[in-house]
Amino acid sequence: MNKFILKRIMGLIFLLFGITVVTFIVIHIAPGKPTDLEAQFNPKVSMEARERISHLYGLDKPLAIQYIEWLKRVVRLDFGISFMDSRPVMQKILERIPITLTIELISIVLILLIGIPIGVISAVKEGSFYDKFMTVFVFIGFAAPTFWLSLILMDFIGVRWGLLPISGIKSLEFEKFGFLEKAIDISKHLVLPVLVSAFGGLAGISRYMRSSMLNVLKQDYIRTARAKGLTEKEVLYKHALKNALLPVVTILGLSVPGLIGGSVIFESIFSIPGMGRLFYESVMARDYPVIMGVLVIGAILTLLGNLLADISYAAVDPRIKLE
Amino acid sequence: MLLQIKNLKVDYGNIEVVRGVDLYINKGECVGIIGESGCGKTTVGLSITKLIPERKGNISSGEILLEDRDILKLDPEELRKIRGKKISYVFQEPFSSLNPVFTIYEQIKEVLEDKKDTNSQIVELFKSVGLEKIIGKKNIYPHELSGGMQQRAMIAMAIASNPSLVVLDEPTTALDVTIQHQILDLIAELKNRMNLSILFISHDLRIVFSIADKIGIMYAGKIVEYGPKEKISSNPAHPYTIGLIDSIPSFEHRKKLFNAIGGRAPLFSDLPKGCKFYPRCRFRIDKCLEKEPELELVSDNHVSRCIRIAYIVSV
Repeated sequence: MNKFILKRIMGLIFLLFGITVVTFIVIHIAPGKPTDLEAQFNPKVSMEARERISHLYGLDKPLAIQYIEWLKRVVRLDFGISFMDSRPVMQKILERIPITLTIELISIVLILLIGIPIGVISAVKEGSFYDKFMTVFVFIGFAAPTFWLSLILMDFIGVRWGLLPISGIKSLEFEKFGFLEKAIDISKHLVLPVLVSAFGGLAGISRYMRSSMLNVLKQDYIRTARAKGLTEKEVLYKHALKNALLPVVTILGLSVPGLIGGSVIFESIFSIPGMGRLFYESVMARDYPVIMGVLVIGAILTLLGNLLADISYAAVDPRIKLE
Repeated sequence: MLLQIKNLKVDYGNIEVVRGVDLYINKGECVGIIGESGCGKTTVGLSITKLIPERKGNISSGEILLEDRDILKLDPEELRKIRGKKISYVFQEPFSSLNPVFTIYEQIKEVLEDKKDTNSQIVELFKSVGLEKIIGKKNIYPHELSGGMQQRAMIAMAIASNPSLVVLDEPTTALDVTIQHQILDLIAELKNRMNLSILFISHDLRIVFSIADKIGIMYAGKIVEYGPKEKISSNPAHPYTIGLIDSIPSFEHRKKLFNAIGGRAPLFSDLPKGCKFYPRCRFRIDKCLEKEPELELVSDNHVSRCIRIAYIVSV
């Protein structure tokens, strides 16, 4: 078991290395340069000045040299300094990561709490009105674009009815609040982003759960459970559900990249100062160190998610041993 | 009479696969049902406690009397109390019939009526089915056992609550021959020791002859011959039974080809008219096409669904 994990982590390190090579190249061949804002768009800046700025950022060196220099720093956990505000990249990411992770964690829990029962009951009542209704419901969530749904919710719930704040995670007068008020204030701000993020993910889990459950209900051991004289509840929610949940564990681990990707969109719309918005801003400004920093952290989270999926699968399924 | 099945009819969608089956099982008796795959024998077994998946199959008529109580008329809760307690099952594939994510101990514990001191009850069960090796090994899962041991665990589950009837649906088909033999010996021993009543479903004539007291031969959803095993083996009175017995390979004739029955079993969606065995029968005459024959008496307790019994028995 430990040997397996060690081997996997070694493999993941190589994978991570490959990911950084590809992303580094892709980001640098994308049109636009970090110096554009200061130089290209400003006619007063002379040729020499432009070159000086390029040289300052190290952008005049060949790409391979730039990558090796970047890598040398990264292995020492130094992601460099942001081109935009000259603050350390690590610091910028660390202050934003908790916000994104909190929202993602809450929405994952919501997705599981709502999606699993929807899927299980759909399977148990296959073909019923409930089943069909839920199919349509979750696919609306799946098909509706995040930005559109966010704007509609902001317009109605936030602007017209004034029920919830629509932007940021704190009110202006936040610092004056007591502890309880602070908590309530943040929760209020998080309702819409979490809802939007969870609604889109509902389809995946609930449909997966439904087909997994349907598949299990056809198995011979379900017939055995009935033949043993167990109650229908025991048959469905003990014998069937435990088997049907196994593959969902894997899906959870694999859903990390989707959630990180999704955060870019709704954090920008709701002006939430999280990793997603940081990424968006840094891409717009071609702030290479920050882009690479966020991508590396995202890649690490994704790979850890995969590893966790493997380990937890072995933990819940007695038939699988990690060797 | 322990169990009486009267005129049982089951359909899957619009296709009738059990077309009127009568079967009687006395206490302590083993009745075997033989037939080709898809002749409806498993469906008969499952019908006894209404285990046919509801959306797929439907018991359209008939009575199943367990000690004079009609099982088909019971509500789901009463039915549940009969399942596993009075009538239990052992299925064909032990591996897929055991739940992979629960330990053997847990799965057996579920059928015990007396929830006190379950461990010693399980130990007793393991001893009686020859699973001494895993006594005390509470963390053992089905996949850690061999096929034969898995089937022993299934049998332990089936006899745990002292049932009146055990339905064995091809219990040895998925096992290799030496293990088959051990399992059959175990079933015979349990039958004698516990005075079990058994419905033994199989397509293997030799296995049924070795274990059953009475034998019913099924073809195309009906019983075509029924009687004590001695009479069936020495004096078969239906062409299908004769064909089945002839097709058993024997040591003396090992250089010859098997005497297989020509043709194939008819589809339920497209049954021939008259006698359903007509297309494959070597005794057929035109009269066989007129209508499907009824069961007729050959001798005491021995019936056959053929209009040429007298001729067949004489040759």
